[in-house]
Amino acid sequence: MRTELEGPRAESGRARLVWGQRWDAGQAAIGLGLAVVFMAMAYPLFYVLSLSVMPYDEYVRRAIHAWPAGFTLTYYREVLADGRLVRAFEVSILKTVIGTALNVVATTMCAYALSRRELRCGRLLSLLFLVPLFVSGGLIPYYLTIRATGLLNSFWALVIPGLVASFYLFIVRTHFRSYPQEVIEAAVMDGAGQFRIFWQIVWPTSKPMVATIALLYGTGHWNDYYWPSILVQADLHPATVVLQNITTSRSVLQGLGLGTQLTPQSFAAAVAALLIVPVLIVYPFAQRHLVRGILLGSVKG
Amino acid sequence: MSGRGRMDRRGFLKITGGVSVVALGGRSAAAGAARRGQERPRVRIWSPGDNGTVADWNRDPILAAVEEATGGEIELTKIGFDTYLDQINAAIASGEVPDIIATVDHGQRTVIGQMVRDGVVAPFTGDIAAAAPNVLAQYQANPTLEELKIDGEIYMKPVSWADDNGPGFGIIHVRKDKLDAYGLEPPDTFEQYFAFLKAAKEDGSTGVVFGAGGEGGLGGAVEAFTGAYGVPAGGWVRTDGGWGFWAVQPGVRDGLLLFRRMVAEELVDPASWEITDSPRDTYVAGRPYSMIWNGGGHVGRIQNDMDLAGVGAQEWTLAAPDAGAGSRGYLTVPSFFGGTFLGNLEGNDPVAAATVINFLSSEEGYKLTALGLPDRDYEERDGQITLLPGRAADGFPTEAGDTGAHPLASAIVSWVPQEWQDFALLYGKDEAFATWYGDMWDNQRQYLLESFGQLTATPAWSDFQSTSTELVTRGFLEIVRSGDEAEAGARFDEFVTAWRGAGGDEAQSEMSEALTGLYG
Repeated sequence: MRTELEGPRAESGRARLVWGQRWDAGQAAIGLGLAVVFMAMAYPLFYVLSLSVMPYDEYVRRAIHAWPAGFTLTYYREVLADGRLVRAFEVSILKTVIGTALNVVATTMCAYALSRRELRCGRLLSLLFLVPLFVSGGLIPYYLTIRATGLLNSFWALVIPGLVASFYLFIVRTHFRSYPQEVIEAAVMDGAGQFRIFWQIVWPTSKPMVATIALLYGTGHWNDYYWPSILVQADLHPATVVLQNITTSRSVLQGLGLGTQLTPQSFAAAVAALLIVPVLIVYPFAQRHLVRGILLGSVKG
Repeated sequence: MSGRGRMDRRGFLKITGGVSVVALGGRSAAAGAARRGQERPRVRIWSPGDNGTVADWNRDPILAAVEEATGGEIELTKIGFDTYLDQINAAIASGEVPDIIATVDHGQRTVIGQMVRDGVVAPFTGDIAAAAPNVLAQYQANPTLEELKIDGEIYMKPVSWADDNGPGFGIIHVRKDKLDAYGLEPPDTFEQYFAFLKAAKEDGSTGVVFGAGGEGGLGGAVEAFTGAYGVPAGGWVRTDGGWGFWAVQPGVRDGLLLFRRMVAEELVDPASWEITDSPRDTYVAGRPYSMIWNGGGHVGRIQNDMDLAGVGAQEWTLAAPDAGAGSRGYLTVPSFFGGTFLGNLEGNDPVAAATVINFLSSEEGYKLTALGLPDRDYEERDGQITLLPGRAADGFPTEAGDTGAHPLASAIVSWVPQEWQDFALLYGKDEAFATWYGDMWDNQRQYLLESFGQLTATPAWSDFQSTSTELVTRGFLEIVRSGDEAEAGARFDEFVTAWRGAGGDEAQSEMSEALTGLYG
């Protein structure tokens, strides 16, 4: 098989696939496999976007909606006409930005402390973070705890309770444990305290790890649905809650026979697209850090 | 509700007060006036769903009119369906529940029983009953609702669309345009129905479509088939020794064999076994010329969509067909889903809450939430109602052509009464459409089978119910897809044996005793 694509010959020494070069059978098989994987990954997104712009009359004409037919922005207009959405997206953005910043700072500081072998009761403290990985308190105890702390129905109920996620903590701790101890010891010899070492030496040189957990936390905040719908009232609901409620309510009410049309899946697709797009914009910028960061944290040094 | 919000709404009331008084009639206005000199009782309502087209409840004129009529100050919170029950559980745990806990799934018997035992909710007795005569009247109008009572007391207002019981979910739909093309009358018997399906298959149809891919399996699709042998496909039926569960009755065997014949003769759209939600889209799209699904107002909406699809399709619902066994009919089910409760913890005002529920359940309350304020949202001249453009500003649906009800009409005391659903659907339609729509309703209701015990459960039945559902789902699918009739019959016998052995006999015995106590 010969590729007909044109383009500059790869200059990098690491690049091995050269445009214009004849592919052998193995490379072709790999290419084909990757193409299949790409289709499997990309098609659901394509499907959602296609459905979200499909006019209702086109929708009812087809039993299967696998391919685009017609174009309308009706559903986007319907969703965006809801005045609450502006506020909801504000909450989502604030929750994601502030929550992620606090998550990253708290998690890395905590992980750094736990990575220090001189920390007293370090094992016991680690154990305390380990337990929630296996056992959850459940809805009622969790709700009553948040209520007792006075966070209920405040913005901080959206960010404080999940400040440190155990899973991410252990990834970061593993990374810090593999951090060159000579560097830290040299800083200690120069008279630096632990805070200074952390902020001025360890943190700046751990950017891939920081970016990784920031991305993971950020995605979690953006997608968070369940707890915001329980812990705060409507004026603090993020976009996920508002959009899900709109979609479910329409579906339930019209399924029961109320309203003149049955809500097509296109409406839900428009909602999904609105939630996906911001993540799609951010992800490519952080993707390279994500891979490196995961690898850094997954290998014990 | 913020103080600013209260001022907004009161300000609005001053402006529209006169209109509201006219709208709500003298009795309601008098009730509001009687309370005006006192502090207005505050009624907090939780209801599942979304605010819909209401931008701000504090400025909503329809809610303001309800406040005016009941003399209360209402704080409404809509909570997503997905987390509604969790919110209620959390509220109960924290010792603070709203005055009206609207639309709790009445199938959540464990949760409801616990709420009653813990005194979280109040019974409709004494002053509360006096404040809610419409709720009591609903129970009197439909004896089936006796099954909802707990220890002989009414604890919930059924969130309904009608007071009586109506057809279930296994209505047979056919394409009338195809019947006409083949020179056939709407089938009255299963033989005629199968003949139509065969003609349709030869004409390129994929067969009859239904949704058997979901957790419920065949679900209501067998209703007319078992009904043809005298067994409603749900609840409990009288037997020689008391009451028996419908699925293990001999008539069900015959009904399933009839259904299997339809499958074996390849008259079923293969997609039916995969559809997990609604077969409606597939039917409207045009290849299946028949469908087994919900009836009621859906029929009109299906025709609307068929018109939109532009293939000249004409929707028709069949009266439950006859199989020559001396019986026919669709299952009837109570016309409600969910129950609305009155909070009974410290800080709750169940009498004020009952007053609000009673008003919303009254004729004037239903009309208010379905149409809006007279001469503002609609005008009525010589019995003819005309909807006014101002409805959109008052929180009514804004989608093109939508004549639907206000969000307050759903998930508090009702799901919009059927008469107002019909009004919305027929508004602006011609006489022919209205006549056809009425005929379709008549067809669905022509042959009905009464069912009992769908709303109640003894402890043993509660424990066994999920096992029963699983056995029925799996067993029925195996029976109707059996290779031949003998095998299908044997599978039915195996299913009954398995059902009895898994605990069905004990649970059935306990339920029989309970139903004998209720119905004799």
